[in-house]
Amino acid sequence: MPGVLPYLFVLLKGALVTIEISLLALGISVIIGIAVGLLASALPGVGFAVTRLYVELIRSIPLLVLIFFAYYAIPVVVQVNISPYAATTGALSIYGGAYMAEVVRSGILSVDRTQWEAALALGLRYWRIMVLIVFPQAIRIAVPAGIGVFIDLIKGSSVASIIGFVELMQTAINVRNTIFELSPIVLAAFLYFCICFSLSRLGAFLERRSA
Amino acid sequence: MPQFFNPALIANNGTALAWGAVNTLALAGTALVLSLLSGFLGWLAKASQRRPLAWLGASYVELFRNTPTLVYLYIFYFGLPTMGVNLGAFAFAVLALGIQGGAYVTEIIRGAYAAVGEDQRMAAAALGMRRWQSLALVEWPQMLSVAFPALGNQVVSTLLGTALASVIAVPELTYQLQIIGDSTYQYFSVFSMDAIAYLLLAQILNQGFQAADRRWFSHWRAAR
Repeated sequence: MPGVLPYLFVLLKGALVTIEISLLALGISVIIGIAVGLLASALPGVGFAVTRLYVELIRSIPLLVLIFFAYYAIPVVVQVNISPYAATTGALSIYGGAYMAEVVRSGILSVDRTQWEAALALGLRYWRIMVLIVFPQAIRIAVPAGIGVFIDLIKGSSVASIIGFVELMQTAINVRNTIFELSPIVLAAFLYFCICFSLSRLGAFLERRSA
Repeated sequence: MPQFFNPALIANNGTALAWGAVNTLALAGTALVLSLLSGFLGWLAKASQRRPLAWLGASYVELFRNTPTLVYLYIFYFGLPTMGVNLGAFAFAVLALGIQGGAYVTEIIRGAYAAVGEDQRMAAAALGMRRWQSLALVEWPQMLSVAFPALGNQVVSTLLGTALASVIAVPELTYQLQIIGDSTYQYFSVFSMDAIAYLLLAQILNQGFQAADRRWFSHWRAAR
């Protein structure tokens, strides 16, 4: 265990990179999720089917394969090298977006039907009802589940270590390969736990408060 | 010069791919069995009246749900051999995926138990049933019908999780295809096939579970 102490700062820096890339992916996921979630709720027939296709497709492919696809496969087609940072951000965002879309959609579905009826009776049109009345309530319902997606993104960002992106997991592996001890990986696990557990407590708190 | 999509890669590497698919399914299957087992034990611990045991169960769930799978793959793969436990990469992957999956299964069982509710237990007791009879004959079937969709999702996420085992060189699908990619540079073909393979397997499982749910379980949930 003592061997890891000189590397404590390096690991904390790795944790910051993990948080940074997860936050970036979270931001893009939220944008994708809101757009796809709104469209899925509004569109009939084909439009709805397209949003389902996106969500089902992404949820049926391992995150690792998405990251490999972004890092190895897409450069073959477009003939441009993609950095591990860009590949990770892109893959995590598309991945998180699919889960976020489901969170937004079920948030919209769980807003009481009487809200729609009351707004229709007041003479409002679909998008005004959605944007002004239903969506704000849906988002409040969706926040705890959204935090769950954020936790998945933080855990998922560890997969980026496999394409050599130096975040917390890869930092821990590098330190391990220097000092030949398991302690850096255990410490990384502890750091992941601290980040994710506090977030999951926050999610549980918000869920209790809104219930 | 790499091609956009080269189906000949499948024909040329048929054996490796079939072997990869077999390993993926075997890994998912064994990890699933282990996760159901450890999930059941985790729930027994968490629901226990004994405080230390309940705390242990809760810690198990929180610890494994709030850390990435990769961490456990590496801890087992690097750590256990130094303690003289050398089971091989496949077994380490089963351990990591199974024990982590168990934390989610614990929560699925806990949720189902809570959903069945106190009145069913009281009614069973009023009919003179013993605790185990009430569990086996009254609560367990209802719990299964409540938990079935979540268990189906857990099966699919176990399947998708097996891709991570490629990092410790378990020769499953992603590992095999990565090797083919590294030697041919046909990364687009290779990872498209990989994605399609998971997509097919996941959709077959999804549809199977949904059909089984409609056939046997969903009407019980609707009746509750």
